[in-house]
Amino acid sequence: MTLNPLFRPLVERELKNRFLGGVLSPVWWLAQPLLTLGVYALVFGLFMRSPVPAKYGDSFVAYLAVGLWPWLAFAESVTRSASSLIAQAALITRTALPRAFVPLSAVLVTFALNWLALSVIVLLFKALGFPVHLSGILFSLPAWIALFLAALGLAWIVSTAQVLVRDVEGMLGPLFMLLSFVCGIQYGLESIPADWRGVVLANPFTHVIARLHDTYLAGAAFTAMDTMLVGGGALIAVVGYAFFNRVAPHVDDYL
Amino acid sequence: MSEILLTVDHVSKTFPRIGRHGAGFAALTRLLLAKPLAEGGFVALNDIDFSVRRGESFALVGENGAGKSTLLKIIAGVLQPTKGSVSRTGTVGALLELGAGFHPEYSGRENLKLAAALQGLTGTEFEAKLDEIIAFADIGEHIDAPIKTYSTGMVVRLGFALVTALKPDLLITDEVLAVGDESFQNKCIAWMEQYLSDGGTLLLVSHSLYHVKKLTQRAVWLDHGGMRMIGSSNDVAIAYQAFHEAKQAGAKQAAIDADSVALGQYAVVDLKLENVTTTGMTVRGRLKSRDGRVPHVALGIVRMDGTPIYGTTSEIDGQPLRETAAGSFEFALTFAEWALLPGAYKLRAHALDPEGMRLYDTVERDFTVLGDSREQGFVRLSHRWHA
Repeated sequence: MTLNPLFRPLVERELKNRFLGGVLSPVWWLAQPLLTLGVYALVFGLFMRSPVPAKYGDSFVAYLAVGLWPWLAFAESVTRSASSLIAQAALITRTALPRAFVPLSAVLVTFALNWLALSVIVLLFKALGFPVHLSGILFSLPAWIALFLAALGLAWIVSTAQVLVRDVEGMLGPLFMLLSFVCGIQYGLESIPADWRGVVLANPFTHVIARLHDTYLAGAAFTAMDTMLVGGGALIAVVGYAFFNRVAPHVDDYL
Repeated sequence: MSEILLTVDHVSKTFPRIGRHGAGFAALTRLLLAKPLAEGGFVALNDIDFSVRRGESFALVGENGAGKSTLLKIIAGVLQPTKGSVSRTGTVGALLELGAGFHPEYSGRENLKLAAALQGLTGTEFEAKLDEIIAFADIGEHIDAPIKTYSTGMVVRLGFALVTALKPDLLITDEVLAVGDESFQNKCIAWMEQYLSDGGTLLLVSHSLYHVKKLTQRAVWLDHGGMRMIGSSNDVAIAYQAFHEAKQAGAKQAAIDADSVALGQYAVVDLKLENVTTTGMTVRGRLKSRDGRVPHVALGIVRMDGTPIYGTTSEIDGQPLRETAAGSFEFALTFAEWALLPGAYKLRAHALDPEGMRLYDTVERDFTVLGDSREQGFVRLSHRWHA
């Protein structure tokens, strides 16, 4: 299978968009999650003294980092995609650009940058003596892929929906904030009252974050759970693509 | 017969009414439930149906808002038709709008890269052709400056230069020739003629009937989203031009009518054109005279917009009208060997008083001189070239 010739220039352009203009842009991809990490570490680690589940060692910063980066990749890529078709309206309404590529390149670039950032951080943690496992860089891949597929499916949905109903993007912020607080990124399941644990466990993202913790912090290898998570992500991607194919041909009328 | 490159099969396009509160949400719901979108909206195209064969050149003419650009966008795959379908074979190069798809922040080179990929060129193919493109666009070192610093002409040159490098099977252009300076326009025309003589296929939108006649063989005239006429470019151009001139003449006609309200003394009661050919025609008519005196007739040929081409009267020519009944006078006249160029014209007849001084009535008949000529103006002036 040959790659569509459009794929590379679009991804290049997406990358360049991130780094064009601002003075801080070239370091922002690393600095922004680092700042978020700092804020969370301060609030949940220092002030609230969130306990780290015993099997993941004793570093709250490491616990926070390995869950936060993939989550930020997910939340940021979907949020960015929401306005991607509108941002590229000039291209979409005047050229025969395959529209599905627009959210795809936004998601792909966001994930690639965040994956790279976390890999660098994990290497750094290891060098500094934090309790992380380098094997996690490999074994966490299914969890990353599951998140990527889910993000892609949602990106296809929200990017087209946003063109017709411009409230969609605004709803994503609160939704992702809620989801991030109930999937075990900032605190372990033990910190949640027993009555509510069922709700948190029903959130599929809780299991993705748990796999990330297991692989990066506890040195776990591939498990059957990986297959389920990737399968779930793939399902969201397929549904998202079907949604996109139905709506995208009509977006010109509303752009 | 060569293969069909493009088939536009009963294409219709309706733009939904947008801007109403909740219209987008309603549309989204209908799309997801696989229901047809709500009725109503603006009908931009209605049942357009034609095909273009390899090696053919085809023009779309029509007023602003007739649907030409919408149709080109559907053909280029940018827009989806509401009804009907478009099928294409071979590579398609589209020059739809000035700088379409160019991002102002990126350099000419970077924009070309994406634009080339959009037209199906891979990275290595593009690199191989880059020098050729830059040379044709003639923008030198500006190629690495952001497009936002370019002049309009430079943007057009860049877009056209890319198409020249692609040499698509089917080239679609929308009014691009209207922009750019004279020398670049000529360069484009020369390139298009070469492209056509090499067997290229062209679909051109232009308001310039000169370009339509020069570059294309067949044409469609779009009017309010529908096909008003399809045929040879020459016939379509003539009809379209006549339509325009008639439209512009509308205002003038009102003035003429007021002039010729006539006191009823003399009137043209019958006017017929016979044997209209490329070389001449015969005009027959009848005038009424209330006072029984012998009136004169004035005959003139004008363009559809009223521009006079030639006029004479029976008084000037010293030819008295023949009385056939009391107060009824007939005339007949043949134009032979005229030099009118193909086009649509009007014959105007006026009743004049016996002194040939006062004009009483105006009756008009339209006629068309058929033919195939790219000469300009109204009449052919006899000429010869010197070696």
